[in-house]
Amino acid sequence: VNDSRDQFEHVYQDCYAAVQRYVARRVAPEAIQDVVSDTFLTAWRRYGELRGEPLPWLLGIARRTAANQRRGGARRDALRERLSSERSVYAPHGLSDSDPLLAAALARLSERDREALTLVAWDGLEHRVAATVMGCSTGAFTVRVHRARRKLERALAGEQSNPIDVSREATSLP
Amino acid sequence: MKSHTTDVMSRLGAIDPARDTAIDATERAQLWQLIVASLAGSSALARRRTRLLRLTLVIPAVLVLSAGALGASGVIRIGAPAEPIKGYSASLRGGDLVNGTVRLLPVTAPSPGGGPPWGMRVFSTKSGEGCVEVGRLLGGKLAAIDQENASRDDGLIHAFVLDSTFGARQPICEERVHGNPR
Repeated sequence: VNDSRDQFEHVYQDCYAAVQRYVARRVAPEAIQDVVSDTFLTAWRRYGELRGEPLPWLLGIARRTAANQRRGGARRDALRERLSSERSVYAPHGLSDSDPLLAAALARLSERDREALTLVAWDGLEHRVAATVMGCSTGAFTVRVHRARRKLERALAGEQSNPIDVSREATSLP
Repeated sequence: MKSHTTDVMSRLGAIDPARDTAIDATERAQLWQLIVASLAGSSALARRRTRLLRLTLVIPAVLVLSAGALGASGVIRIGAPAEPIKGYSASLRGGDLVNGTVRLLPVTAPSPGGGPPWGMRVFSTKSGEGCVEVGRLLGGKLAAIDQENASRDDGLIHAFVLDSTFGARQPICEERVHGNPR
């Protein structure tokens, strides 16, 4: 047990920053620490299942933990949304400030397409590693990224001709 | 098209919401301490679970061994499983037993004539009836002794069959109005 714990501590020290940034890109600021700690606690419980590199495995756990957190948040916000009659959009903290058109185009993509693009563009992962995070083959991931890029380009072109105000809609989110 | 695609990805990379996120070493150390504390807690929980599991394995074993010892000493003499009552047809009466619905009720009554106490079990049938069956309680199972028409008048105790057919005693079945008898 002590050997496993020492190994796990090395994994924690090596991967903490990447996991923390991954989570920061996908959940509200106040939920980051909860999701990061849940990710590592789950990882410890399932440490015996680790095969291969720890980072993509950890990011896969973080992805599911963040999704659970968002679903829980969405349920809590359902009433508030209904009362405000506004559609919620994907709007990570501060994203719409720097490039509102691109943020709006990104919000129009499906969660899987968005995840494929951001694993490459934000987390800087190779396709092989990102494929492990998403639980698919490298070939399937490459195809997904290619298609997602094209969708993003089309959505961006649509935004330039018919923009929606993401920053206004994003204010309806907590 | 290639350069345009690259532009989109570069533009996307430039709006990375975590690009300015600094890693706080103190926060990292505190989280590790929290994880270590949780690991210690989960180890203690695992130890408690192991102890509980041991007890759940040991107690039935003790009961079975005790029944065996009582049988060996002649206090209780155990025979073959009870045979179904002749002429009784489960499929005609209430339909076959629904597997997994048999529940032994946590009630017992001492036998005035001595011997094991009386107990009850309930189960559902495929025709939608709820049934109650009464018998002697021995080692967590229902059984009958010879004079209760369990099998032959051999002076032995005979366990009821619990699997897919009814036991030796004809159960009391009624159409269920309140769901499964559990």
